[in-house]
Amino acid sequence: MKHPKSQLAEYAMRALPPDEARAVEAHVLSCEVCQAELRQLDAALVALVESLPPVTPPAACWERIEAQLERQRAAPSAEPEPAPSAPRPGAGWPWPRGAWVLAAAIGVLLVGASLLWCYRQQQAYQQLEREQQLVAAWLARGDVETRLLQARDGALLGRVLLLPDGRALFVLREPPAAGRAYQAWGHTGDGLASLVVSERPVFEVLGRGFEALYLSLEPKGGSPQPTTPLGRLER
Amino acid sequence: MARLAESDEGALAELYARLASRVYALALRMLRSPEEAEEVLQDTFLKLYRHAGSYDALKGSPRAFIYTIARNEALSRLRARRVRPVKAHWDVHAPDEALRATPIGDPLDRVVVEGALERLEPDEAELLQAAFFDDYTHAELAERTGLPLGTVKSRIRRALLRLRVYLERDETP
Repeated sequence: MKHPKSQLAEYAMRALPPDEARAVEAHVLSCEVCQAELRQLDAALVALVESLPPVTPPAACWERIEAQLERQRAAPSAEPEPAPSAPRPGAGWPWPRGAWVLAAAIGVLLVGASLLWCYRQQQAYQQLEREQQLVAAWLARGDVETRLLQARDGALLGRVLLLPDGRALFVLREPPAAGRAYQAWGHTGDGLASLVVSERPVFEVLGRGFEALYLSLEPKGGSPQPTTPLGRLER
Repeated sequence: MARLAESDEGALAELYARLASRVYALALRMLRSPEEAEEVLQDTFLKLYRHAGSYDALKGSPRAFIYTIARNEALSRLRARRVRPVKAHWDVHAPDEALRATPIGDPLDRVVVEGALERLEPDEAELLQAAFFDDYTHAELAERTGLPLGTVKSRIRRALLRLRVYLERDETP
């Protein structure tokens, strides 16, 4: 079989009909050239997935998984059923009088909580989109310089986009921990000046006239002086 | 994955802690329904637990394996929608809806992936995302865009390979 180059992307996306997928797979397992290309394709697809805004699922999801595993342990010989994805109401249970009222109230609360959760997710998603648009606008400029911002141990904190007019856009990998904020500082011979306090991982500062920019982690609202320095960027 | 193949539930919990928000985000992006995305998340990790023994490193990384399970779970739900009446706004295959670009997330990834996607030809990036997230087949994309099927296939493959090259360059400090 020739290298099935034209089918590898579809194979990687699991978009081939079963018989074609089996033929490609048989070839790939014995062909180092196609294995290498498939690794490249897989890595690009993983990057596409991980470019989406991570969304924390409700805690009940893990509890349901644990409950399902527990059921499987209790009946190990039984063929595992398709995982029920949400508790299913028992049909025709002899519920006591009043239970229906309670169930309805709980239902209303659940619907309300679900709507509130959706609203918050939507807000978070819109915030991420706004940041995305801001970063995209900066990247679209021909005169932007992108620099890595690293911690003292070399770990990558994020990037800083610099414009010739002195503006800088911090684009950090993670938002600050709960209850904390990032604070950016400008350094001159006279000392440090606070530039901005941000609870978001993307924020802009005016860094004109400073020899270096610093980043620290502070309590919400910021600090008069850095308490937890994170990284430094020479201009 | 080796621990998981020996039914180590602690390994499953660790993987869940690391990847649940990614799997959930993928399912939400594809299905746009929190309820169905929760189902996909749960079913993905239960399948992972049961089928970890079938993982073969030659076929891809563990993350690719997990995301593939999740994507397949989401695809089966998307395809079920197609064979039963659905509300118009659920039909991501409505031909009069423009293909949508994916909002990119995590800040560093956003910069890196956005930079890489920007260097792709616009139609390549659009084809890639429509094929991966929205389950357009290559034939459907050919029909929508008027491009020959072979061209669609080669553009998507080229887009993926170029994306990987750009990402490798940008990830190198």
